[in-house]
Amino acid sequence: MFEKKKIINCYTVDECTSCNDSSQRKFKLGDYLFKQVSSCKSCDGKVIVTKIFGETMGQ
Amino acid sequence: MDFTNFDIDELMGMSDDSNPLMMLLWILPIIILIFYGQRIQLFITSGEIKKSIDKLDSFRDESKKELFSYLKNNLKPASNIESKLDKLFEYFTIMPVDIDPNGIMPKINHLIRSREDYTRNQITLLFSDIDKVNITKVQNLVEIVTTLQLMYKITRHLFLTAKKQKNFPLILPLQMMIPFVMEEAEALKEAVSAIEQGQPIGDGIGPMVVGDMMRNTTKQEIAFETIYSESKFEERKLHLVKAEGPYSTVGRLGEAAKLIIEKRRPDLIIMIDAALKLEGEESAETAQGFGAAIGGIGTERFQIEEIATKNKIPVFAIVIKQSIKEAVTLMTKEISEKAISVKSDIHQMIRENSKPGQSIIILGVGNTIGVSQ
Repeated sequence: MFEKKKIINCYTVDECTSCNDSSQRKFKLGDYLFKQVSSCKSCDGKVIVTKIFGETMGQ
Repeated sequence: MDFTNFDIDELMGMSDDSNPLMMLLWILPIIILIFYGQRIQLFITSGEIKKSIDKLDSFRDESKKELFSYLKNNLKPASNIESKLDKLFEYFTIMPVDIDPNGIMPKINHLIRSREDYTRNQITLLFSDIDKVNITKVQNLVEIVTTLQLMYKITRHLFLTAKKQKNFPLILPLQMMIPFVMEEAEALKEAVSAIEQGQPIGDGIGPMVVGDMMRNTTKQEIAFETIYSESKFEERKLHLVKAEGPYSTVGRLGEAAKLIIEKRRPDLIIMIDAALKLEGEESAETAQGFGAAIGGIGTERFQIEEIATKNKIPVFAIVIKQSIKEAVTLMTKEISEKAISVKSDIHQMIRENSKPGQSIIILGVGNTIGVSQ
């Protein structure tokens, strides 16, 4: 009856395939796993999406 | 005070000088419970079930509304889309006669494929400009609404029949089943958002692992919405198969496995899939075992089992455990983090069960929405 509604945030992890440098950001529409998103700023390697997951707020 | 000095007849109101009203006070409820006990129970139980049925009704309506607003905001639907989709939600499938079960699997397979093809064609006709990602998404969303509608209608039918007949035993199976029905319905309702946004779901962990192994390989379509590629691992040849991502599809892995086995004669089959966890088990736990790890109505499993048995190929499985809700909604962090350890489990399994020079089929089983290759 008084159950709290959980808010789930979706995150995307980008990772460089050469230097394995990774960063986490909010999910954007059009993101999917193994999509090439950009070039790595430090080594110019391919940066791809390696994880997309949901986390319940306050976790 | 002496507690031992009491008279049982006096207490029960049975003694000669007792008040007849006191007697009635004891006997009347017993008589009522004997004759009307079941009806009272039916009244109490039906109240609880009615609440669940109302909830099912709201789940169906909400998911329908979400689907219509998604279609209006993101695609260019035909003018009478709501009435056409309402008709599609009511479509039923009559399963083949199983009195003589011999040869029933191809019949079921044919029926399921015909239904899928029909739904896909209808969806394509409803929109002037729709791409493959959206066709598969809408197909899945229509399936969710259809399932919720069916759950609501069947539950309501059982409930109303029991009430109409004033038959308490009729409502008992429904009372037992309703928590499981509600769990599945809630999971389906929450799946709508992930599918609309093209996010990977818990069931996509198998395609995620195999998709990662497919990176930097040459890919080709081997069966409808199913991708195949070859790779190498410690002098063994790997035949990698998964549904074509990032579409919302499970592909046709049975057909693909059959084709590869007939052409390449592999020595081992490894299947990676999500599995429903038992109560008390931790989510995202992995387990290894034997047999074809693939869900659905059973036709794909049948195909894989049949061809593997015919060619005497051992079938191994690695499963990632999760609840039904986790399997159909946005992938959790715990499940997504398992991909690396599952990959090393596959490598270990290959080393233990094959020799250099042999070849292995690796099947990533599950819905590949949001997971490319």
